[in-house]
Formats: sequence, C-alpha cells, structure tokens
Amino acid sequence: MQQAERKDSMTGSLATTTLGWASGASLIVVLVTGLITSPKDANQGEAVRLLYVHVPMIWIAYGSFIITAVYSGLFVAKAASRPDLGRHLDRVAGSAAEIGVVFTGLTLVSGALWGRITWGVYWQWDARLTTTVLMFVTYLGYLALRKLPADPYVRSRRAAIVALIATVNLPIVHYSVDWWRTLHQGASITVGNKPEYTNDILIALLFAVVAFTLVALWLGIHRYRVIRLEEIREEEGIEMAIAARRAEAEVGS
Amino acid sequence: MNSWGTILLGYGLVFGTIGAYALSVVARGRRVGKQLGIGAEDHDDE
Repeated sequence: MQQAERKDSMTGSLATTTLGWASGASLIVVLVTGLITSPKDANQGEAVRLLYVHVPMIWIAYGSFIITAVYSGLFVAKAASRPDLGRHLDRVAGSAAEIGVVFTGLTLVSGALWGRITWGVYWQWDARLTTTVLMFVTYLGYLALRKLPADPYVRSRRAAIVALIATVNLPIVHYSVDWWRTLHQGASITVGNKPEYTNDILIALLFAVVAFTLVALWLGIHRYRVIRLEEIREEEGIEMAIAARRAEAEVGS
Repeated sequence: MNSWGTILLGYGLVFGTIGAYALSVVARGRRVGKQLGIGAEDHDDE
C-alpha cells in the first residue's frame, strides 16, 4: 500500500477537525437551550426538555438506516462489476448502520425516561416502542453479520441483502403511531398541521436536530475511515502471510 | 425521582454515550494507524 494512499486513509483532516469543533460547540448550545433557556411546555412542563435529545436521536437513526439501505442497494447492483466502488458503498453502509444503532439505542433510553415522567412507566409494549426495539435488534444483527469471517465480497453482499430486508421496518416504525392506537404521541411536526409546540420550543428542537446531525456526520466520516484502515491492515496481513508462506516453500524446495 | 432528575439523567446518558462512542472511534483509528506504521503524530489534527 502506497504511503500516499495510507495518509489519505487517516481518520483526521482539517475539514473533519473543523466539523468536530463545530459539532462540539453546537452541542454546548443544545445543553444551554435544552436545560436552561427553553420554556416549559403548557402540557408537559419541564419534561419537554427531553424532546431536544429524543427526537434528534430517532431522526438521525432513520437517516442513517436510509443511507444504509440506499448504499446497500447500490452495492447489490454495482459491486460485482465495479469492486472498488462496491467496497466504498459497503463502507458507507456499514458506518451509517453503526451510527444508526447507537442513535436508536439512545432513542430507546431517552424515550423510556421521558415515558417515566409523562406516562408514569419506563416501558409499554405498544406499537411504536416494540417496532423500534425490533429495528434496533435487526440492525445489531446486521452489524454482527458484518463481523462474521467470510470472503469480503460475500460478507458485504449478505449484509447488504439483510440491510434491504431490514428497511421494510422503517416505515412501520414511523407510521406505527398512525396505524395503531399507541400510548406514544404522534409526530411532533407534520406538514400541513399546526405544531403542538410553541415557536421557542420548535426553534430549540430544530437547532438540536442540526447539532446532532453535525455530530453524526463527523462520526460517520471517522467511522468510514477507520473501516478503510482496517481493510488495509487486513490486506497487508494477508500479503505478509502469503509472502511468508512463499518463503517457507522456497526454503523447503 | 423528580422530573429534573430524570431529565438530567437523560441528557447525561445521551451526551455521555455519544462522547464515549466518538472517543472509541478516534482511538480505534489511531490504533490501526499505528499498526500500519502511520505515526500518532499524523493524527494530531483529530
């Protein structure tokens, strides 16, 4: 592997450093707006503050899993004829899925805490919560599949097919509150309907979504680069093993 | 637990988990980079 290509694979760069600092600064603003300056909600009181961490988590999880689905679909379509493009597509799908799993886990935790305040219980097996857990477990399985020892192309193809199957659950999670009677409230913001929150709360929510999206983007870029470095390490390990085996064979002959 | 305690716990878990995950990703990149012979000094801009 050429040194130039290795350097290109490193996880830090000026752009990601800038993005990292911007993400960190915006998270501090989220803390201030979420915990201090945001007003109480007329119905939920102080509990509305959990809106600013709960809603961005699930939106980013949806976004991440949609990216995984799109790149997995492209992998299935293109990887056989264009291996280098296929590896790029697979890396994006894998890194997005991992971020989606982290943010789905945080959705479940923050939602349980919010539920404890507003419903009086941490958990109810209602449609939204149950389908979200199913989504979490499915993508955990997807990540586990990516770790199984196999030929890289075969492994990536299997993972891509699982990701495409898992995508079926995404609209079910999102529309579960409309399709079934659930304890979980409906969408916080819907096109064409008057929002149930005041402008102050909606602006703070919008900012939180932007801030956590920057963080997810930063994480995604770094995760992608780490996967690429790991692939280089794997390739070099194989090359060294082959060279060692050849050297042994030459000594033996 | 009152609502403020639960809210602070929620923020702590969300921010703490994201911070820990970010550190783990950066540390993994540094470790693999080192194994490949890319010095830690090359990663200082993270």
